[in-house]
Order: sequence, then structure tokens, then C-alpha cells
Amino acid sequence: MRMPTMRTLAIVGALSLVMALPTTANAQENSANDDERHSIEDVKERAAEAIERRLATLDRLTEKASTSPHLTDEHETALLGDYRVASNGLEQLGDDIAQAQTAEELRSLVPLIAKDYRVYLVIVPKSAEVGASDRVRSAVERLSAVATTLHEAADRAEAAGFDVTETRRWLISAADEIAEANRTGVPVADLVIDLDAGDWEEPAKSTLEDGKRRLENARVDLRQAHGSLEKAREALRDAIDR
Amino acid sequence: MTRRWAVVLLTVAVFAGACSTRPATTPPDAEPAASVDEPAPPVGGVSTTGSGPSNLENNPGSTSPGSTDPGSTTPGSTTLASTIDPAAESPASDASPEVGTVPDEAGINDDEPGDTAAEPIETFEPTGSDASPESDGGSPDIEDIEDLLAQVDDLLGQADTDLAGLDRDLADVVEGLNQDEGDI
Repeated sequence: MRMPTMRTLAIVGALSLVMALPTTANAQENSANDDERHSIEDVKERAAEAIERRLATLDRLTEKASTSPHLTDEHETALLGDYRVASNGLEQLGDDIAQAQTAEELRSLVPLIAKDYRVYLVIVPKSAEVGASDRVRSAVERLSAVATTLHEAADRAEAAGFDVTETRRWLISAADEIAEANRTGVPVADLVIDLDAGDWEEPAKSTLEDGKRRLENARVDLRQAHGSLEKAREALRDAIDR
Repeated sequence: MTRRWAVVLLTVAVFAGACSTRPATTPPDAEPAASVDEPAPPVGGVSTTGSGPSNLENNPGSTSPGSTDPGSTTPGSTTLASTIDPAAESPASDASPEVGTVPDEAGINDDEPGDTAAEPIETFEPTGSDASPESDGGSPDIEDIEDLLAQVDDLLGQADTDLAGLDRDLADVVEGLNQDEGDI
């Protein structure tokens, strides 16, 4: 009597274990599915935020390009075209990501937000350089107008018998500096404006870095030209007041 | 007795002669008119140099109708002398219209320091402090230059704005190059 009881208990215990295993497996599977579902939603949400941030950036760039008085018409048209293409593509990509059902789909779609548009690695810096380059062009034209006006004033002063040697010396310096700024800074816009996402990392990265150096040099030249023109003006003032 | 009569007759004869010759020479009021109406060319020609009066004094016979009677102080010569003498003494009186207003303006007046009418006033020496164009109230040249300098000031102010904008643009460039696409 005692032995059968023990044997029965063992059997019952074994059967219980066998019966309990599928239940645990089902629970674990359900938990994994829930985690995956949560993970997909999280990824979609983060993708949507990334797209929204880029669309907002493109809107800001569009506003800036549309209202900038320094951008040439050609550059403005090109940049606005880039922004429009990027915005439309990102909106379409956002729709595709929202409809994705599996993590596999997301793994292929989400990286395209960065790779296909390079809003922050290409579009933003090249827009800044195009704007700065056209600003250099505007400053070159402005300072050239200053130099021309000072030349005319110096010519008249000289015709009236004043000594304008000092004025002309500063005007020569200014002309050299303006020419250098024109040579280094103005071409940057055309060097970078055709860069797109496919150019990342090279040649886009080195081209943008080179553009930055050119623009910084042009700024130095323009500052020096501005100073030279101020000196020329002072020299002319001294000449006629003497 | 005879000698007395001879003296009387001689006196009468001299008196009569004197009376008879005076009207025949120059009427006091006719000679000046003749000298004014028809001045001898040498008078004007000499007076242009300012030496005319002395020439007249030295050669009265050649200049005055009255000099036809060299032995007398004729009204004609007196008239000319009274006209010309002041000119000989004073350059200012050479402006008398009778003896050459025009020649005097071209000659003597040029030497007068006080005569500002004929002084050149438009030329100036810009290198001298007293000749500064601004010191005479401002010339059109200076005004033009001042206008151009005002334009320069305005353009330089706009260039300042351009350069300040360029500073901001370059700050954007630096910021743009430091960005990345971020984690998604």
C-alpha cells in the first residue's frame, strides 16, 4: 500500500510538469510578441519624430531662402527645389514607415530618413554656405561701389589741386582685398550647391570643409577691404580739410 | 623934345601893336575847344605809358595849338597843361576821361595794390592754408566731393551690415558642419 502511493505521486507530479510546460511557452511567446509590437510602435514613433524634425528644418530653410535679399535667383531656385524634393520624399517615407508591419520592414525603411536626404549633413551646411557665399558677393559689390565712389571723389579732389596720394594708396589695397574675397568666397556657392545626399560622405564632406575655409578667408579679406576704404575716406577728408 | 616924342610914339606903337596882334592869335574860348575836339595823336599815345605829361611839358610846341605862339602863355597851352598836369602828378587822376580812361585802366591801374576790381579771384592755391577752398565759402568742387563722401559713408554703413550678416552666416556654416543626422 505504501509503495503504490509513492509511485502514484511521482507519476502525478511528472504529468503535472509535462502539462505545465506548454503553458509557460505560450506565455513567453505572447510576451515576446507584445515586446515586438511595442518595439515597432516605438520605432515608428521615433521615425515620425525624426521626419517631422527634418520637415521643420526644411520649412525653416525654405522661409530663409525665400526672404533672403542676398541669394541670387538661380541659387534660390536651386535650394528651394532641393527642399521641396526632400520634403516630399520624407513625407512619402513617413507614410511607408507608418504602414510597416514588421521589424524587418522598419529596419530597411528607417535608415533612409538620414541616408536618402542627408538633411543635416548636406542640405543644412550647403544652404549655409550658399547663403554666406552670396553674402560675400553682395559685400564685394557694396565695397566695390564704395571704392568707385571714392575714386570719383579722389579724381575730383585731384582735379581741384588736392594731394590724394594717400587716398589712392588705400584704394589700391582695398581693390586687392576685394578681388581676393571675390576670388575665394563668391565661387563657393556654385561649388556646393549641387551636392546631394548621394555625395555623402565624399566628396560632400571635403567640399563643404573647403567652402568653409574659403568663406572665412573671404570674410577676412572683406574686413580688411572695409578698413582700407575707411582709411581712404579719412585720407581724402584730411586732404580737403588741410 | 624929340627924344620924348620918340619914346611916346614908340610906346604908343608898341601898345597899338600889342592890341592889334592879340585878337589875331587865339581866342581864349576857341582854342581849348579845338584842342579837345582834335587831340593830337601823340597825346593819347604818350599818355598810355603815363609819360605823356612830361613829354608835353618838355615839348609844348608839338602838342598844343597854342604853341604856334611860342613866346606867350597861350590859353591853349594853359588848357592842356591844366588838363594834363594833374595826371602827371597823380596816377589816380589819370582816370580823367579827357586823356585816356581806357589806356589808364590797362596801364597804371595794374600797378595799384589797392585796386581790387581787376584782381584775379577765382584761382587759388590748395596747398596754402589761406587759399583753402573752404575758406572762401565752399566751392562747387568741394561740395561735390562732400556729396560723394556722404555716399561713401552710407555705403560703408551698408557694408557693415553685410559683414555682420556674413558673421551670422558663417556661424551657421560652422554649426551646420557640426551637425549629424542623430540617432533614430
